[in-house]
Amino acid sequence: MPGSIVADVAAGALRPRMGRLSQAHTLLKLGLQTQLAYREELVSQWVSIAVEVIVFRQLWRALYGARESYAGVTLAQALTYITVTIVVTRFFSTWLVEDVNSQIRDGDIALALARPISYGYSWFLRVAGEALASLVLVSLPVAVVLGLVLKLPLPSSPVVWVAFVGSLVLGFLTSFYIDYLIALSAFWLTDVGGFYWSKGGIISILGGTYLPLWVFPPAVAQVLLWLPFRGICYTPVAIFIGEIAIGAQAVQALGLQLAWVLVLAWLSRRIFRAGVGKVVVQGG
Amino acid sequence: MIRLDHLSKHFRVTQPGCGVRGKLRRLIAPEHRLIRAVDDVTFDITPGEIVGYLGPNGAGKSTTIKLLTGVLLPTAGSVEVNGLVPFRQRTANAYNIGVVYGQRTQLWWDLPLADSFEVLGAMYRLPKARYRATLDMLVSLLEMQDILDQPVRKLSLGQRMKGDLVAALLHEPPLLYLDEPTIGLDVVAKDTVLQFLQALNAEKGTTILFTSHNLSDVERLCPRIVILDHGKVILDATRETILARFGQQRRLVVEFQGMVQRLDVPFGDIVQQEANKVWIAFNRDEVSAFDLIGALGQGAQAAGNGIKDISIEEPHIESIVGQIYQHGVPGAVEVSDARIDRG
Repeated sequence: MPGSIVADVAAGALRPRMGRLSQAHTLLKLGLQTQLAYREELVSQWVSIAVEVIVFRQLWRALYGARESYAGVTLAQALTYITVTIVVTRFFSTWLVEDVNSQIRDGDIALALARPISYGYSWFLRVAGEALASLVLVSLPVAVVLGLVLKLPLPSSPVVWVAFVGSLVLGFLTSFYIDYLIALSAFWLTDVGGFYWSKGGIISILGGTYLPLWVFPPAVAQVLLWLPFRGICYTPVAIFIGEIAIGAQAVQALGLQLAWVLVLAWLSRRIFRAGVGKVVVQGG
Repeated sequence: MIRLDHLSKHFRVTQPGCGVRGKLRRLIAPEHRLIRAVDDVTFDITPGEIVGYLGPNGAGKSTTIKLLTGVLLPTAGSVEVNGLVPFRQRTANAYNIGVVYGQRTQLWWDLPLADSFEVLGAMYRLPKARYRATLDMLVSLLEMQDILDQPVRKLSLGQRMKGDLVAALLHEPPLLYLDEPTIGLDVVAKDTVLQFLQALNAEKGTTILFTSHNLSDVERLCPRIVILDHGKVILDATRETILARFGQQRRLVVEFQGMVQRLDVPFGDIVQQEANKVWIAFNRDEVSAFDLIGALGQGAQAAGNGIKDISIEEPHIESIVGQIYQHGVPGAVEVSDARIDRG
């Protein structure tokens, strides 16, 4: 299996853990707690999502003007797209890049390497825990309220829901690995801060996050469709609104997501080894 | 338990140039410098020993610990910890060792101590019952029941150090590395830590490697002391040998009210004199500081001068290292290869 983390999850599920503290369970809980430490910010998070949703919906209304649909996407679909996107983006965003980056820069990685757990796997569990907390505390309640207030059209077919959730999980993995790869560049660069700031913009443009891929010129969209970035947010939300239809289209989209996750997992493993090798041989 | 055999770790460091021109030149033709952080170090530690690893800043103490934890690959020589080669069997080695860094914490800043411990216990996949028993034992030994629910950011340095000790010992490692654990601690906290380590060693037989740049911390705890400088072991001897030679040598710093012209010191030697300040080296065994101060006070009064302030300086590792280079060590158990040339 190319991805160390995928292998670790599988191994963790197989290993007997009767009466032992579980790595996965405890580290997920750690991520949850890290998020809960900032529970004072909950209200401000709810408000900021609501404001963002209102602003973007108005923007799209204005862009559509009197049009019924654009590039085959109706105004109602576009509005649902942007609403779901904002909610999803929120719980996907983590502090992984800063945390891993500072650990490498300050040399605390020496402590982490002296633990009997793979470095990437332990971070994955933490970040997953953080995302889970943010999903439960921020995204889900906001989604329910927005869904009721805005009377969002929801998919009626359970197959769409399953595909959406599956695609969301793959999207999260894609987002994790891209962040992790950026963070690992700290082995060679002293500070990845600038990199990190440009990452947000690049991914949201190339990934068709706020500007969905269907609004790009067909030639550009064709290229972007094959990149990993669209797998983060565009694919799951496009499945949700029916822009990616269940059937061959959805299978292809999910397959591409999975392929990219595997490639990124393999890449991050290689890069981690090279980086640790550099520290181990060169020090510092 | 631990075996270092002609162990070396050299780093190649790129020299940054000076100024714009220098920096540009280095960009094209980088200049490297070789740093011998650990240089041909050989010693063994047997199970149950407490060894003080002493050396000035930058002597190579932390690098040695990184080699022992398997985070660094040796340049030459070999290292073996409890039958394992750390850099090859890092994960297996992790179960055998606990590490405490005085200047880093392995606890999570925002989490209550108890939760940090649980996360660490989980990383080692400890059996729940065993984990609870160990935790209870450590917590009661260090008397930290009251702070378990406190987030780490609210703890004092001494409390945090206790927390880090517990964190390093939850998986009951037979070996404990302490990298400058007493740095910044006040007398009381230092006392607790040293007493705890003594108890741990006596009850569980834990082998301890205690790193410090301060002789007085090491002398209380460690029956054996290894002194390192510029990556080389310059002395490996029992505490008694080292204290007999260096530990008695203290300095009395006397500040007079007026300028000091000539001063007759009944005991010890004047090693330095500035305006109204005098440094006197004396041997603790030959004269007590009290007698020395008394004699100085009488002399000063007779000369119409008064004493303004007095302090006593403990021997610094730097001065001990300097003395070793100058005079060698009579009666030392073993001076590593006796190659005492600097750099």
